[in-house]
Amino acid sequence: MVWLLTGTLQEIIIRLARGRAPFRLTIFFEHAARAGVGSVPLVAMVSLFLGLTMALLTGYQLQPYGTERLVPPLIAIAFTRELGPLLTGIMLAARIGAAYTAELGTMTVAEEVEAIEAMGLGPLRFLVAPRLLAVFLLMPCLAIVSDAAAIFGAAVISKTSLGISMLYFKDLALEGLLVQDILAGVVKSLLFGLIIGVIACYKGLAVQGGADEVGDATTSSVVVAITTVIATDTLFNIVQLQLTAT
Amino acid sequence: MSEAPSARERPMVELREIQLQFGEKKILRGIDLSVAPRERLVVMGQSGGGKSTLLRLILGILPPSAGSVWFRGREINRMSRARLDLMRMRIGMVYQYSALISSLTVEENLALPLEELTRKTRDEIDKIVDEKLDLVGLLDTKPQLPSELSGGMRKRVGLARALVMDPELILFDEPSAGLDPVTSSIVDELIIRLTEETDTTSIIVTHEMDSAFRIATRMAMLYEGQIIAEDTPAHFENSDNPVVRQFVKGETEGPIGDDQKEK
Repeated sequence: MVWLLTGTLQEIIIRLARGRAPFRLTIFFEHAARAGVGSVPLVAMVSLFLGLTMALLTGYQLQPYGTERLVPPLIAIAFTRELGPLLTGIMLAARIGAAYTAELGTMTVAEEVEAIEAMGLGPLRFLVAPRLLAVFLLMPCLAIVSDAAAIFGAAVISKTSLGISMLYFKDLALEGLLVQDILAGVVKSLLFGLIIGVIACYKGLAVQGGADEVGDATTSSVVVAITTVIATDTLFNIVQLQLTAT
Repeated sequence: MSEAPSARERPMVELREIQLQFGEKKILRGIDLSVAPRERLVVMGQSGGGKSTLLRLILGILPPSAGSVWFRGREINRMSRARLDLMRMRIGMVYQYSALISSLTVEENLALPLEELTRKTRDEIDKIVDEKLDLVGLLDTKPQLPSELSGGMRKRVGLARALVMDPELILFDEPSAGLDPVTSSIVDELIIRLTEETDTTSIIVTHEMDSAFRIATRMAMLYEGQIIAEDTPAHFENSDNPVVRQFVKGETEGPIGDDQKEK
């Protein structure tokens, strides 16, 4: 996978040295629209329902002690720092990672990737770079959509079940949130985007065989990407907590 | 670094003592082959014998385990990535299954290398695309996707795509495979006409004998990872070599069959 990143960078540098753009902006926008805009409904819906459920359950637990005012900051922090990027990462690994692997895998099997290389076009900068950049840049945007949807869901439950008005919810949430929570979420999202893109493209380009192997590679891409995203998240939290403690 | 062949007798492509091994399996065992400018060399051999691999070695897509590949006096395996891409622009490749980009129309497939690798204007690109599609008689397929074309049509579009950059060398991987005899003849005639009209050198890999004798100005036989014969089509047809004779005549009895029986 390191080979994929260094190879892509090398091809981009060769292109730039010739005074040409590494890839067409229209292709990047197409991928960005598919990975980003196309994923908004899924990410928003799942996050909204999760926000509703979390507010409902935590409210139910905290209400007997009269501490239901902790629900807004709890949901806000949990999603901006942890669940927003993580959920988005898992959903994008399944939705976009699978699509990238299947597309590139089919192209590899049909010798299309080799033909692109044989023409001197540079398959990595032509096929991989716009996909990688799209998922890398769009991940933080989608994580913010996830945060917003979940917090909105929690606000609705807080108003209807816990007697916390929307305005009071906002004040309580902002009181508990720190800039570093939001920053940590954005950094994580960028990292997850890179992981999903690299794994998906690598798995697609490494396919050898036929339709069965494309299917296997797609499954493997999703499984490996989701596992790596969760493992990286854990590692990120450990490192961040260590750094905060010192 | 080994010495380049002299400019006077410089071949277009030269393979020197090429060996290729995948794990324990030896595919090529010391290939020496040179192709002169404007020649149409047909490389024959059994399926899975490493013929297509030869083309990938020439394009620098596969590195040899030993030996060297030369294009126009420059060793391919020592080229930088940037130089390798520039060399590939001078070579056209026609794939067995066309390898057209399935998400692009015929027109977009042909325009792609011109848009990406040259600084030609839209009008110039459109003109070249029309010209090359006209050469293969498929001007009306411009808006179609490759999946909407027949196998023979796809092959002809693949040939047109290989021609858009006006290459000095065209590599053909099984140009007649899977085509009916009439379409196969049409494709063969196209190869002859286009390479003669444009003074292009070509290397054609095939195991279709009719097609091979129609196209070739010179022939080579690849057998058990080695070039066992290299001659004109006339000499090939009357070869004394038992392997060549059996392969050309398509006989079941002979050294090739014996080998397979032993395996």
